[in-house]
Amino acid sequence: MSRSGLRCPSGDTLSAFVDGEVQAPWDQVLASHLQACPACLATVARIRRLRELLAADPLPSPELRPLPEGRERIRPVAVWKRRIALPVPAAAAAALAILALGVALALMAGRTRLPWMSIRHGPTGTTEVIVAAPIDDLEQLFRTLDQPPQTSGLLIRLPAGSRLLMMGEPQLVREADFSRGRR
Amino acid sequence: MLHAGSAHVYETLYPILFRIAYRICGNRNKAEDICQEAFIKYFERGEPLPDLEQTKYWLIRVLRNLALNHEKKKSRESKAYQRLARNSRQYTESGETEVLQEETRSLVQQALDRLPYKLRSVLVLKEYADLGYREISRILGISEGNVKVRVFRARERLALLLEDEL
Repeated sequence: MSRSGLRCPSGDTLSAFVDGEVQAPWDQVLASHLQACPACLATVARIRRLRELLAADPLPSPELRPLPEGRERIRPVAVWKRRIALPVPAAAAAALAILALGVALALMAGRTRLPWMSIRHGPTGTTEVIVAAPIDDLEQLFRTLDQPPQTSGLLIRLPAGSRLLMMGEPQLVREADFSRGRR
Repeated sequence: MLHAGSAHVYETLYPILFRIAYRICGNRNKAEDICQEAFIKYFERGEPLPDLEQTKYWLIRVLRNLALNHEKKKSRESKAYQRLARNSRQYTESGETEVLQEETRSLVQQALDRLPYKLRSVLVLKEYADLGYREISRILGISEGNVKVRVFRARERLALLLEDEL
């Protein structure tokens, strides 16, 4: 509190006052407060001395280097032209894997998608489907048969001893339903 | 890419940028590197800014980011040295080097270097870039009130460090 009875401004306000950052009319109010308040005046004087000290501190003279012209931009290499560093064993293994995959695909091309079913085309134009389905695949077999028939004259041979009635499930009824009267 | 007036921009603003960079990072070579990097970025942006004042603000903003990166790197290296100190004698040598470098810097610069980056950068922009609180707030992306408080806190700390000189 100053002798004039005004409350002292905060330190950051005094610091801003030194920087000329206090707007009118508050700068005038502050200036008159400083005349009446030795404590605030001492703070302002200390900040001014610090500023003078900073301004007077010698600066090493900079070396003005040649005008930078910008860096030479590195053009990005297209993905298909990039080189990949790979150890020889890893590269050989990858090539072998690709080859094996190719062979397997070529062999499977002429086969049915279902590994447990083979299709034979007879010379008289008939098609014979031989199914080797394990008991636990019966559900899948029935689902396949549920699809609309593509060819006529299907012959399905189930493995000997196949049980179509499992755990009370009325599969015989379903089987009769799936056969759609073709027995 | 250089354009008309590039040399004028470079020669006029380089000393100002160097002064700011040196006061923030406290190392002449590093300050020169940062200034070069800032100018390279400016010339790479293609279209020149309409006037010198805007160019100065643009460059100071870039410089501030570069100085911040340098500060982070310095902090990481310092931690690495401290870790090394526990296990190796090499630290003694680097410690000696640091002491020699310390002696070549002024007391004011040494005191500035001891301020936290947040306070140092604001005070340097106020004292050595001759910017107002509004411009500093725009460059640093903080409020004017925050600039005011940081400048004051930086001064308080600096006054304590330079007690004998005041």
